[in-house]
Amino acid sequence: MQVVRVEMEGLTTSFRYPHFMWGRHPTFEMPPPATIYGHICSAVGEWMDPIGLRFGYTFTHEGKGEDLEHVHAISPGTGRPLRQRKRGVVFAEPVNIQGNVNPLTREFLFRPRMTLYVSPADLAEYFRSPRYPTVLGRSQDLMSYRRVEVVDLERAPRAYYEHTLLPWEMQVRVRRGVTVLMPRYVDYSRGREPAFERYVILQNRVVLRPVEERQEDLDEEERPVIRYEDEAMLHWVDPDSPEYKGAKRGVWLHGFTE
Amino acid sequence: MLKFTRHPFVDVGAAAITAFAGKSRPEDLSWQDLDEVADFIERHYTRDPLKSFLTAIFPNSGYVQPAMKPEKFAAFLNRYLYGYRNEESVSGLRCVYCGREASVRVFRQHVPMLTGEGMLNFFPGAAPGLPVCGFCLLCIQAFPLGATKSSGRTLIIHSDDEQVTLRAARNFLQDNLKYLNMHDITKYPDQKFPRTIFVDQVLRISEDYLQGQERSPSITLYHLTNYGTTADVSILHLPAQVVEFLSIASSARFGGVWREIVRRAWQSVDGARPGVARNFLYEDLFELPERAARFVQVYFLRQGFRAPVRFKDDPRSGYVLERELDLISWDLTAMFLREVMEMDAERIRAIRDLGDRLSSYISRTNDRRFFRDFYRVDRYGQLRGLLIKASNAEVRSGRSPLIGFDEFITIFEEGRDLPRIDWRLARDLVLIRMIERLHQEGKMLEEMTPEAEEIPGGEAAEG
Repeated sequence: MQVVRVEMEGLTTSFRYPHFMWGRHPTFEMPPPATIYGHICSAVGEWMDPIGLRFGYTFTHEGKGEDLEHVHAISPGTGRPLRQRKRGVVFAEPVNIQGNVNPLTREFLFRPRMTLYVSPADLAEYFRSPRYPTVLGRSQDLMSYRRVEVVDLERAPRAYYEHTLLPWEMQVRVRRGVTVLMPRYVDYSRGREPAFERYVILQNRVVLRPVEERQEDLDEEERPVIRYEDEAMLHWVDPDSPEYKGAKRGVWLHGFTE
Repeated sequence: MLKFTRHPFVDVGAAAITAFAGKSRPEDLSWQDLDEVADFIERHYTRDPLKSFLTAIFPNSGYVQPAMKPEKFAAFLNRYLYGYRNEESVSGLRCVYCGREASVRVFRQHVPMLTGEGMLNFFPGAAPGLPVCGFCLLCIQAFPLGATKSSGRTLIIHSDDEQVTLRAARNFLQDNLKYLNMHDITKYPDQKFPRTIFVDQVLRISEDYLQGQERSPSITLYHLTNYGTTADVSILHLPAQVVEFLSIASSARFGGVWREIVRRAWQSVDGARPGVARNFLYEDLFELPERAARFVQVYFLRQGFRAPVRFKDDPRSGYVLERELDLISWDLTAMFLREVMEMDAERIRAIRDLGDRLSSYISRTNDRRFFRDFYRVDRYGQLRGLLIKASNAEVRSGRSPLIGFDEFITIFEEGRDLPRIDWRLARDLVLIRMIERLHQEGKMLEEMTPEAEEIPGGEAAEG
């Protein structure tokens, strides 16, 4: 399968938990699918139909920090000139929006690096010449594309996954990682209505092999052998990735709408 | 009606209501169950001890506003607590939690950590507030019943395994109902050390549920306050591999040793238990896998740990190997390496075999000096020299060398002459196996071990 492989890096990034708005903005450890959708659309220059669009990635950072930021908390104005007690009119124009400055703690990830895989491959030209400034996370989190290539992912019966996002259904196979509820897609045609999905954030390397190959290790580990209906699964692997235990790095291709 | 949505507040609320009704799934709840819990909330949220607890969760809400007029309070309850009975809808918008038609827009006084009323930030289309349905809103109003108070904040436990969420909420609900039945309590007891409370709950759930399961879930702690200008949330994850380690460690095979290791990690105070004392092992689990080498040294090799001064009554500084030989377990350590550190089975086997050979060597030759030097070695060159010297001695005596080239590379080196970054960890692991074997053979380890030496600690170690 041909995909675009984009290698990028930046100084900081932050992926806010959408339901925590005040006091602290915690960050996910990896970019949610909705963020990737926005990133792709930013390169293309318009909101794309998400159907048929697929992505996978490996994402690393060098640490998490926090920053105290000022948020301009805005609310609707009265539509009348601004008056203050004893001082009369202090702003003669109608005030439609007013705001206050509030401090807020925001978590951020330091030195993010991402290898993004996007299908279809004919989007490569957009990544070579992106329409809008390249950011990942907040609008001030600039990223640099270091390499944009079209590569052929290969099918393989074994693969290793690391520093990536997997669908929650894979948790039972990898038996590792942290489950998170992430925004999968934000529907701009319906007033930015969000759709959420569960994913597994997998940091450490996990090798997935057919059961018969795993038998020896499983005996050693005294774990029960778990069989699945789709045991003979094939993985998409990046042929250019380093080999580990006879496996290449797997690329799990997610959709945005299914 | 009610269902788990995968959002922590809604799910913990649904779990608390399910436990309150004595049912096993939110889908089993009836209208009567919902009415009963809503009635309970109406009666108890407006008076202490719950009222004071709720000022940090729903500030400015009808529950905690003494100045709110009766008719306004009734409207508040009708809209936000009994909203599931109404047929109101926010035209064209769906509940952000469950996808049903939304009935009301909510703000910070209804759902913690949202923005205040009228604030436009973070909402699309300059339409402030989050659209929510009456059922999810009832769950959110109920979630404090499935929570506990810790360090002035609200502590909830959420998991991708719904049974874990349900059982944690049920445990907290039972405690909360107990407090409500005490007539002389005006404030919820505030419990310290949220991490210790969290792991204690996970272990309780592990004993009666997780050990029988095929998969280990990931479990998350949310520790939050929605109070005034200090609103804040801490999110702590126990990844699936750590939950799996805890489940296996608590099982019958390791239970005896593991429970004793845990017992000796409690803060040295009278009546040490979750809520009143810290368990240092529980708290150190959150440093994994980054600080796994130190974890192995302190808890499996039983080396004393010099804790930062700010941690009083830290029992780890009193760990002395010769007094705790019964806690040295290679099998438990190997399981930790496999589950948490994801060490290769091949390297674990090589470390175990080397430990076996070295213990046989010491047992046969009574070479106490070798043991002491191996225990104390601090430079990689010294370690290599020790092993080569002992191996040469074995070869001169007509026996096989203690370690082969491939094995040495597997255990200690990245490549030839390039030590692994974790060679000290490998040394500690070999020691654990050696000590266990020598102790089983009844050798006088007391005379072999060096004077108790503490590992330097540090602020960063404690997080």
